[in-house]
Amino acid sequence: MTHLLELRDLHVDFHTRDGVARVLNGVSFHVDAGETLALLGESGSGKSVTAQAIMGILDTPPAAVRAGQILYEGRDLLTLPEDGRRALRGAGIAMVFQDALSALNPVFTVGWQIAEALRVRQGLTRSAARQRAVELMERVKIPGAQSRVHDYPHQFSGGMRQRVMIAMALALNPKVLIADEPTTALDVTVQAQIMDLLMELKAQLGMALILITHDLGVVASVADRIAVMYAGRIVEEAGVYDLYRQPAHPYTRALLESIPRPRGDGQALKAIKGLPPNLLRVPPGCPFHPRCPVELPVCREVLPPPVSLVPQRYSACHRAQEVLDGRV
Amino acid sequence: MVSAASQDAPRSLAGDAWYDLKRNPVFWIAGMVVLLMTLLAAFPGLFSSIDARTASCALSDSLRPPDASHWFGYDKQGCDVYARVVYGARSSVLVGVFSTLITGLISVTIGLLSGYFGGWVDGLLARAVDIFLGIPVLLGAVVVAKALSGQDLGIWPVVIALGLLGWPPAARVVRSSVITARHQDYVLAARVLGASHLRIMLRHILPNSMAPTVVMLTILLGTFIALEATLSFLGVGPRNTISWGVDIAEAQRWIREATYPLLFPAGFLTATVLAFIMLGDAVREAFDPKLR
Amino acid sequence: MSGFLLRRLLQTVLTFVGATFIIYALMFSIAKDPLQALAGEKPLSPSQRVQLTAQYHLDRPFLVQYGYYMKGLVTGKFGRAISGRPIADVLAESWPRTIQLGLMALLIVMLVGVAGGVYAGLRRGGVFDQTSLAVTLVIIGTPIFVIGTVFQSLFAVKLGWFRPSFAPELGLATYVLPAIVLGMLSLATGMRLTRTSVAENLRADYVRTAAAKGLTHRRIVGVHVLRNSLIPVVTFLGTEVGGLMSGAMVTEGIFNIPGIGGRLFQGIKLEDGPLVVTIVSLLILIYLVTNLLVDMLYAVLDPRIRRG
Repeated sequence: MTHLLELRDLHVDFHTRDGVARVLNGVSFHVDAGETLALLGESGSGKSVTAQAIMGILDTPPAAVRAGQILYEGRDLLTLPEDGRRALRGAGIAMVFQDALSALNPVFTVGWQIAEALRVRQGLTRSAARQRAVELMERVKIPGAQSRVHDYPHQFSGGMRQRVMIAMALALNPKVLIADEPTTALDVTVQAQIMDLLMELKAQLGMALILITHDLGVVASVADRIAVMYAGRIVEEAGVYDLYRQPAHPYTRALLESIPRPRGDGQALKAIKGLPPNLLRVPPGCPFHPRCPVELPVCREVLPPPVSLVPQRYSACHRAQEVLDGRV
Repeated sequence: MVSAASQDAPRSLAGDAWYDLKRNPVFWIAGMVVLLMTLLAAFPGLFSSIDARTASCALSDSLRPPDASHWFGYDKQGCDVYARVVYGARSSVLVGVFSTLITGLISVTIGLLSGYFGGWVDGLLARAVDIFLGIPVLLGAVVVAKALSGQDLGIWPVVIALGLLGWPPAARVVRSSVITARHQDYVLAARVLGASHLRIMLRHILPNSMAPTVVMLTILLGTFIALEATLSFLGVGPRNTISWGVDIAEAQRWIREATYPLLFPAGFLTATVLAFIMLGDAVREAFDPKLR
Repeated sequence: MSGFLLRRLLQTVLTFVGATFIIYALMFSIAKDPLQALAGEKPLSPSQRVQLTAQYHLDRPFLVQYGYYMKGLVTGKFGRAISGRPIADVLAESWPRTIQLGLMALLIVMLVGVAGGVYAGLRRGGVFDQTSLAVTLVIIGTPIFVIGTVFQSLFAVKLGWFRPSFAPELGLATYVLPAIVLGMLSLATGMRLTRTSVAENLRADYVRTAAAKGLTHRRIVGVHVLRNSLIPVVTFLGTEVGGLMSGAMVTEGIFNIPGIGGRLFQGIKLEDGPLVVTIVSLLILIYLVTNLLVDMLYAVLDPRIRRG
């Protein structure tokens, strides 16, 4: 079956002064139209790098794609020339970034920036493009779009700016939208509004949505499937209900247990002991084993392959089935 | 992103900075040049057997090229260029040092008061800064040096001129570091403990704002040396003193016949100015956390 | 925006008054014999003393003197030089030359300095970048009169590529070597500033966003990066006017150009006090007005500072 977007075994390295860091180590997932896939992980797990690799906007001196495929509608993007990849940016796959204040150009009006793709890539006239920009701003529910189209990014509030980013991303009617931590920089109430907006737009336009976040709360109400990332690989992928109800990987379980719950009986918060591994010197075996409460000797030597537990659900753990069944 | 759990002991900014500076060849070279010029200024006799202040110059030697005993050749008057270059260091270095001291005093005072008290004090002093900034240093120094030139005051007219006019940029640097320091918790703690304004300013804020100020003053020193030479070149520099600027002005007139009398003082002057500027630059880079 | 303008205008006026007051005070009150200081070495004849005293109202209280001086400055009645010539005439015939020199220097600064800085910033760490950093540092450390005399001796006297002095029959070409000398320092500082600005902006987040929109590298750099990088550069060019004026004094002196700077240079040599003070005051005015224009330009270029 050809998925709309599919990553197969993607490996990306970063060449630094201190050596080669293995930032992505065999990332595989797929997403189809109308679906929301959440990429969940701590900072440093490789989520943003994955997104940027898909878009092809990694800085390729320090970064280098070592192996793998990125298939969009069946075609491997990594084999395309730069012109071909650029044609798809914004038009096939679009991206929304985290901090809209720095992600938007401060010296151009919002309307100019939203309309830019339309003028430059679709050849619209200035006024036609501006009109379309106003429409897009109305679609993302920015009040007073007609006049605000002439305003500058710093004149908007955080939530409104994020809507501008979304409008800009939608300009060329992409089929896949990648949202990299779209609400992290915002207040909690505004977060909910933005997430609702994304869901609505996805439904209206039939897009696939890849949501990158570290926030378990945001993900629960919004995603169809969740892929949990750790140290540059996907350690578990499952439907959202299945994941929350019964995780199949010690890391996922530890993440869920670390969410503070209002219990009122003064129990200590459960944090995951230790720190993520140094990607310059990745230890053999499972990357999570130094912090894993249920590690076995085999975990230190052999990298656990993704094990398919039920269709559409897998976990990269030697004890996946036991974790799933609740036996450990 | 590469995340690494670092187990190293915490390093201070000053410690890091010194570590980098030690390894920076520019720092050492510039430092050596500065040292050399200071020695030339302080002990010219160590470097030149001929005392340029009292030497007798024979016009018959006018503009002769360098030879074994006169390494830099002779100038138009027949004087030994090497000796004049060595003895010329003094006025440049002294003017540089004293003007920087005056500028330092003025800019630290104004910057400290401005940054610490803010409000109307800052507003008032900012107007003073504006006014002095409106006078391009060279132009103003020319006027001052001219006005004082009638009296034979040696290097002091130039020193005062430069010191009085060159402080605004340094005052701004001091002011912004003071403002940063003012908001630190230890200042708040000192206030709560009842320390007087003066004590806080001198004991807490000043030591912590010194780094960028010292950098600025070092670079300013280099600039002042260049300005002194320019003023001498223009004819309003210190009177009756051997100066690189004066020698360059003189040598320029006879450029068709000989280049050495121009090149050597010019070379020493440029080297000295560059050394101070690069020294200040190297220190600034070492202390700049953004470049790590 | 107009509130901002009004405030800056007021500030300029106050600063001008303050600065000229200081210049005037320095000239006339620290000298023991201001009249003699005006004339320098040459002893003044009694009739000259009378004339100068009347011209500068030296028999009146200091503030009144200053008042007359300002009035004269502002109305264009600049009085006479020690030589007797009306200063206004001297200025009228000199300023076109300085303008031509200055504009050519600015052009060189922009073409070589800014363009070079953009290139160095785009290829940061490359050969051009590293060489230009070293070269510009040497330029910054070399006093302008050293550059002027060395260039004159090398390119004009030794190599004969240029005339060593002002030659009006060559038209604009006679300004080329002096303009290069005059612009050197600004070129070096400008190149470094542009380079840093471009290099910083290349790493900005909005560059990533622009790439994600599928824009070509050429457009990202040419439109997005450049527009942001050039803001500090443009304002820098404006503030360089002060340095250019001081530099013009030295450059015109070395190359014998009879512009405003050259007259000032001669005025210092010939110890013509009234001329010197008047020209310096006017140059300060030009400097302040230019700064004001630069501030307004900055507000136009950077929308973030327009509000108050």
